[in-house]
Amino acid sequence: MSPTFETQSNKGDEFTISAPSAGLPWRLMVFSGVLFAFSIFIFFGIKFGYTSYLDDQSIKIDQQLESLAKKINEADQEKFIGFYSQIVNLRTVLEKHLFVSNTFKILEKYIIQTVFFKDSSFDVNSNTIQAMGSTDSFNSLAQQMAIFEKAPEITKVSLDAVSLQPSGGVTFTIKLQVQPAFLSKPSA
Amino acid sequence: MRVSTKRILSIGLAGLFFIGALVTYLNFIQGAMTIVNEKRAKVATQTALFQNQDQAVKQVQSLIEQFKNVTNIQQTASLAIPNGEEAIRALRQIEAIGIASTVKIASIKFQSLPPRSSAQSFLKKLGVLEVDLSARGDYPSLKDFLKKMETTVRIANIKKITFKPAAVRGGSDSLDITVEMYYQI
Repeated sequence: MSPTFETQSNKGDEFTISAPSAGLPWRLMVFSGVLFAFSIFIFFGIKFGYTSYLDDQSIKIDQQLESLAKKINEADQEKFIGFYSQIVNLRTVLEKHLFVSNTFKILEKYIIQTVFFKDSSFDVNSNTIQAMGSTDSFNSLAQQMAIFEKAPEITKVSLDAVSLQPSGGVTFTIKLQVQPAFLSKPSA
Repeated sequence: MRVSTKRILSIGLAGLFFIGALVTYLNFIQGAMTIVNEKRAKVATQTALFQNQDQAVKQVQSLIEQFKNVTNIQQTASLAIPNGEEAIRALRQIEAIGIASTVKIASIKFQSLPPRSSAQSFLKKLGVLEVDLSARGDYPSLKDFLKKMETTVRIANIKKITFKPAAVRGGSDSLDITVEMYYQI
């Protein structure tokens, strides 16, 4: 590439030859300089502008969160939690509430005339009535067992101990497992 | 200065500026961007949290307003599960049921069992007061007593009963009851 010469007339007839310009390298240098300056600007913009803006935002949201917590009166909050706990605890307790007095109804309904119970107990954990009774004969006891086994309220009948008395009667211990559904509602 | 020198200087400076820009980007801007992205993520999380909390606070405020209007339910709930053991009140209640059912309370024993924690941690714990009592009377009265115990205002869950008929004719039958009463801690 040949250098360009510019002629120009000055005062008088003097000819001067201007210095050839740097051309493309010069423009490249300016462009690189601008690029460098821009990258520095971006860095400082991020470092001191955007980062501090984000920090401010973060602090502002934290403050808003703190003020949000103060919006609810502490006493009201405490009362509400107490009431809510009562409702939840009430539900928990009522789920386990059984009408144990229904067991009397079972015995009243199915005991035959020749059988007498001396002692009876009911345990909620095992859902079982345990009763000690006496009757006049093995035949009556077998009859009583058969009635209990047919009862829809009873899921399992087991005879624990049977002994013949010198007087001729029979004493026994019986276990009756009660259907839980039968204890979940009060009897009429 | 010679043109060629200028040219070389220009090219050199351009290279230096370019390398400078590249170094600034790789060493400083990228690092700063990582920090900025972390901070942006933090702000986004905080904003989401704030929006959720704000929504929750509004719901709680509305619930508290509703709760203020249900004083009757609050009173009933406090009778069913009082805020405290209140063994004396439980004793009076059992005594009143005994009188109403015409049975005699022969003995009564109170025992505090370990409290039961609720599924949700912020809820108040459920205290358990176990009552062992022995009542004397005739069969219908004892049965009535048991029925009334089951439906008393303060929730009473019967755990065990033992019924013994009178040993002698004309004597009193007995009913031993183990019952759990509850309170809020």
